[in-house]
Amino acid sequence: MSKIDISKLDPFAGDSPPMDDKLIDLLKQAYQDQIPVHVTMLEIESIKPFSDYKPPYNEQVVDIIEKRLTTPGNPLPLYVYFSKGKFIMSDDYYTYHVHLSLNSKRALCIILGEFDHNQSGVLVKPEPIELKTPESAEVINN
Amino acid sequence: MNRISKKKVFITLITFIFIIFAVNELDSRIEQLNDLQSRVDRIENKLGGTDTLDCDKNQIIKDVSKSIVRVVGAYSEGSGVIIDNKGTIITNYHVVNGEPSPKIVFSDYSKITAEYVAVDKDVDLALLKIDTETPNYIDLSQKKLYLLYTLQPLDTVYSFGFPLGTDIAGDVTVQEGHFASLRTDAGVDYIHTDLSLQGGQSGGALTDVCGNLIGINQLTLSGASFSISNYTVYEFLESSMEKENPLEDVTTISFLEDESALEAVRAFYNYQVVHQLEKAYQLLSDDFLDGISYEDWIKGYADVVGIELISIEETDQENVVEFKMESIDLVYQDRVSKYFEGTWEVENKDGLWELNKPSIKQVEDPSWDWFYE
Repeated sequence: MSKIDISKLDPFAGDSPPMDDKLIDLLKQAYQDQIPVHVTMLEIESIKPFSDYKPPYNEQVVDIIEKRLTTPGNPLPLYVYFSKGKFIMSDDYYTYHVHLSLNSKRALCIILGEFDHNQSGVLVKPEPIELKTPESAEVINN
Repeated sequence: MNRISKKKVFITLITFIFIIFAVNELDSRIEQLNDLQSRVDRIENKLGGTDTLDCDKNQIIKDVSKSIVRVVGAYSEGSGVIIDNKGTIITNYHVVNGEPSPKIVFSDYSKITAEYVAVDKDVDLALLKIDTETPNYIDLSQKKLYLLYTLQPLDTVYSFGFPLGTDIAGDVTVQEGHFASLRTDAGVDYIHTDLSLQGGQSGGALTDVCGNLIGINQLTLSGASFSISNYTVYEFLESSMEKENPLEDVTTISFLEDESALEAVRAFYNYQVVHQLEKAYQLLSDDFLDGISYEDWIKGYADVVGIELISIEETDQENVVEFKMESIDLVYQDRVSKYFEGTWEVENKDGLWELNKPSIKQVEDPSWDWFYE
């Protein structure tokens, strides 16, 4: 039996978004409970992509995300952090662009780190949450 | 010799007195002239400066009016501005939202179907193209963008458009108002004026007194109107050229009120989304309205600038539809979101679905999961 580090899996191999070191750093801190993490609804206009990267169109992936965003029960959040008046999204380009294609006015977001709760764009009262460390995937070698 | 000397002294004295008198008089005249010049400058400034005084008001109104068209969408009507001689027209996105082929109506009531070139729902602008030459247009060249920034509060501006769209025949309506301020929201510059614009004037031109396009009329409230600045319009044009898919915001909204109870409720709110309140009103049953006129009913929407249906679905009960919605109100120039949830009992009368009994409540401070329940 061998273990696969799921953080190294790239489901969209071949065309990757630019790396945002700040997000990675914040995620590490969040998983170690060193910074506050909140869940809330943000105005889509208040979210700024880290780069102009656009993921390659993949109908299957878009369908799955679209279903998650439009069907109750299993929401798909964007991970963002606050910087210079905007919430920066740097790792959920597919979800973000599906939001745009659906003309969404708001998006469910998990905000890593400190931010002003009265910041414009924060639509509902942010709730503190705890990020759970993702389990490593296991595959069985026959 | 003595007599000559006395005469000379006398003449010199008289000359000296005269010179003093003349200099004083000259000073006084110069002072008067300076005062007069200062008054002329003040009057000139009040009228907009020397450049403005050179502009012929009647001719400008005549020229600009030729560049304004009616724009007819599926659920809305507005105005548009021709910006080049190749049939390019700019208007508001909300005027053509949901319309696959907007119609352009010229002042002689001839019509032509336009195609989309680019739209941006966030900026609320749409660029259309008609297949005909348009010799009358307003130049929106970069070199004139600065003119907006030369405006001072209370400077005169003109608005051109077609209030109430094609419901009222006739020439373009020209109004005179005053520049109040330049405001910015979400990267869009808005010109605040004291114009009182009506539905149908969205997408029309806002110009300075020399007919230079300084904005596209967008939104009006009691006693205050907002126009999208020429700079934002220019940015939109530039970014449209760089966009991979400048038509990604062209969407259609369904209005299938004849199909089912669910679609009737969806159409009721979608009509509100596209500001077709009269059509929404027509979906309400007489029992519900209980004699309330359309004019009275829309008073409840006075502050509402946007409606969004968050979710809608059928319930276990026959013809009862549950929904969640957001209403965006403008309160003291701030956008305030209000959230509602509830049900509509819908009836089918002679093949037409009518919204009859509502049970709706406001949801104060919903939590994030309210949106996903």
